[in-house]
Amino acid sequence: MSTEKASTITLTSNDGVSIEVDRQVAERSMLIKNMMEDLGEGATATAVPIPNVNESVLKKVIEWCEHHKNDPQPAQDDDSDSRKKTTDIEEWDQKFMQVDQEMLFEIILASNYLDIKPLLDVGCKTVANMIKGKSPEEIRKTFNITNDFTPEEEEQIRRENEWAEDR
Amino acid sequence: MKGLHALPKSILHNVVSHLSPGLADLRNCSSVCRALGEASTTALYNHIDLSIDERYDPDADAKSKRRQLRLVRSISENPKLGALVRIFKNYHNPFGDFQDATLDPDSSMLIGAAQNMKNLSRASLTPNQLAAYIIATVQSYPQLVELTVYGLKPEEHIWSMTPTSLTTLKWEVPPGWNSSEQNPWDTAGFLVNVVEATCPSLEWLDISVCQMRTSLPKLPVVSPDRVQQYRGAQATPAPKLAHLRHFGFRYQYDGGHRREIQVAFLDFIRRHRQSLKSVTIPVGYRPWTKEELDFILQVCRQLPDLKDLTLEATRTGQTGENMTGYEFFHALTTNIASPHFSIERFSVTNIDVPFSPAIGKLFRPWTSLRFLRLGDGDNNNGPYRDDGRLDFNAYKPDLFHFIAELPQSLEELYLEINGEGLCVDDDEDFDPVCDFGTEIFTTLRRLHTCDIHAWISNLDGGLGQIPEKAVFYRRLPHQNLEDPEFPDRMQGSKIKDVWTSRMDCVYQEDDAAVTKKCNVVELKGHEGDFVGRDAAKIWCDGFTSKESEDCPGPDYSWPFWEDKVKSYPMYRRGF
Repeated sequence: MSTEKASTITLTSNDGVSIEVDRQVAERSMLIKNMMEDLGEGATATAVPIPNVNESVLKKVIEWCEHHKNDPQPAQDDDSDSRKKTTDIEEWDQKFMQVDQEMLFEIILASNYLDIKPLLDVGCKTVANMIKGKSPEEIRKTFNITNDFTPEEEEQIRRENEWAEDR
Repeated sequence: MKGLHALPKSILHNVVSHLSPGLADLRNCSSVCRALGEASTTALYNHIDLSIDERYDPDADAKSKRRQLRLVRSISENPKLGALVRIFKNYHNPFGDFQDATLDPDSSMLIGAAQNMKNLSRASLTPNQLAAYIIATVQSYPQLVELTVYGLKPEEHIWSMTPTSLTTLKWEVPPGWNSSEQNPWDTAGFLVNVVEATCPSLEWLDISVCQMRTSLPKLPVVSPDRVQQYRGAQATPAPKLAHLRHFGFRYQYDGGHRREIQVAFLDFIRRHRQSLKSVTIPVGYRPWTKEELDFILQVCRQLPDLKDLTLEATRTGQTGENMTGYEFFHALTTNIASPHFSIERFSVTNIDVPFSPAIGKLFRPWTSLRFLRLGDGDNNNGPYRDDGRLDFNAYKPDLFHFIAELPQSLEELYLEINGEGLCVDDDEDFDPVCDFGTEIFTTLRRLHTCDIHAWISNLDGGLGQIPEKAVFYRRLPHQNLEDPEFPDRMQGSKIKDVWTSRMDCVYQEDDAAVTKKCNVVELKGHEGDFVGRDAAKIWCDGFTSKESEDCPGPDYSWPFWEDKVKSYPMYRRGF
């Protein structure tokens, strides 16, 4: 019998499903990593409840963490000039993000809650790419958003931000 | 169903941060709904930079001016927009013709904009009414920590004598009309009085006194009483700037006051010796002299924790006993060597001698040196001048062996070749110094960045705003995705990607030609390892001029255009 079994953690989704995951994979989540560090080695024995995430989303997030388990930990990002960021997404992540909008936003919220910054960024970049090049009306249509501005407010915004208009 | 507009604020801010630099996308998002509008408007107004890339195109300039004016008006009319501005930067190009929208005569608009930008944390200002207002009322910007001022006289534009939150102050002062006779410390000393009285958190202070190339606009000045208060302030022996890490002073002309300046400079250094770790010392124009060396050593000996040393050449000649570049740097590197000193960063614009193995060896005792920026002697009078051209092929062996002799601790190296008056016939003449990236990085194992900037003349015989030719070597992790052992090899210390970017200015063209290539460098088992961290990225984010060919006829007007090559921060700027 092998005694070198990889250390695993059990995560429980908010709909009560328990999923066993390699500790290395689960620790892509800074929330879980910090929790493990705080609780010490004994913590792996008990299931960790993930109250904000259901089974299908949790599985999807674990799939991402599995694929990226060997990535270097992201550097602390102190980026005051956000204009320099890019929207390049690597091919595997692009395919991974080909899901319906509801799942996309669920993944984003889960990665935010679980503190998985690179996954959060991939999700946000995917949304940004869906916005790019669209008019305000097209953006509303794409994401099913109701315009909650009054016509006067909308006109004021248009006028104030005219300087950023490419004409 | 969860929708985009219902995401938490922080996530919406993350989404819009990935929209940029497409300002049009941010603008479109701003009117979609309140939630997305708040996030995108914050991103639109967070960082206002009025810099443009001057291309002498009247249509583009007219568009730039119109848009900038609309922006300043929006900030002035809507306090909510003004409150979003954290970084504000005026356009500053002492050679340029373009003047940004803050030179508009509408004072109430400019002052309104200044008043509304109450959450500024960083500002870089030129002579205009908005700038004068911010400076005179700096205490009403409680988050303003970093202030850069070009071309305003502190004796005319200064804040009142109460504490500010500034941690960094860089001030480039224009001297009076009799600039060559004036003592540049008069103004520097005034500013020192100001910061000692009002900037208890100051960590970084740079003062330059230099000639302005453009005439300054007439601006309302602060009351003489305010100025007089500071003049009356007496220096005390106890340091008032307990956190000051850096002090830099540069000037062009000493007006015959060299000795007084040195005494005042040294006095300031003495008073802040406990906290200072970085210093920029003004030194006389070549040749080096014994007197100059003694002054530099006197300064350094005052500073037990000195890590960062810059010698900035003035335009005033030296007095005293002449020394060759070799003699000077031999004495300097020996006298401030380990174990009493641990210099980590060192910069000199002109060492007055060509790069050679003997000069490289002089830096060996500096075993903590991580950053080195050196300009060589004037090549117009040097051994590599060949019939009005700079012979890079002949210079190459000495240049390479100079680098190879430098200390192994070095991480970043910036070399400037001073060849004013010399040029090359063909781009190929620069090839010899563009092909030794592999050798450099296998010799200096901690080095990740190496630039060589050739400040040679264009066909008109003058120097441009950026070097005529340059090469940029970067060591990065190995990235061959088809490698079966990836990512293990990527993480390894035996194999690296060496990127070589090259820039050639093309005569009378606005855009420089930029190319890049990559070599994979692998060390054998017995050859040891690469050490330390790699460069963050390829030069200029990997930009090549082929990219700009792909998008024909770009719009050069503000705010949609930034020349990545010209704005490279490590190019020497005019002084």
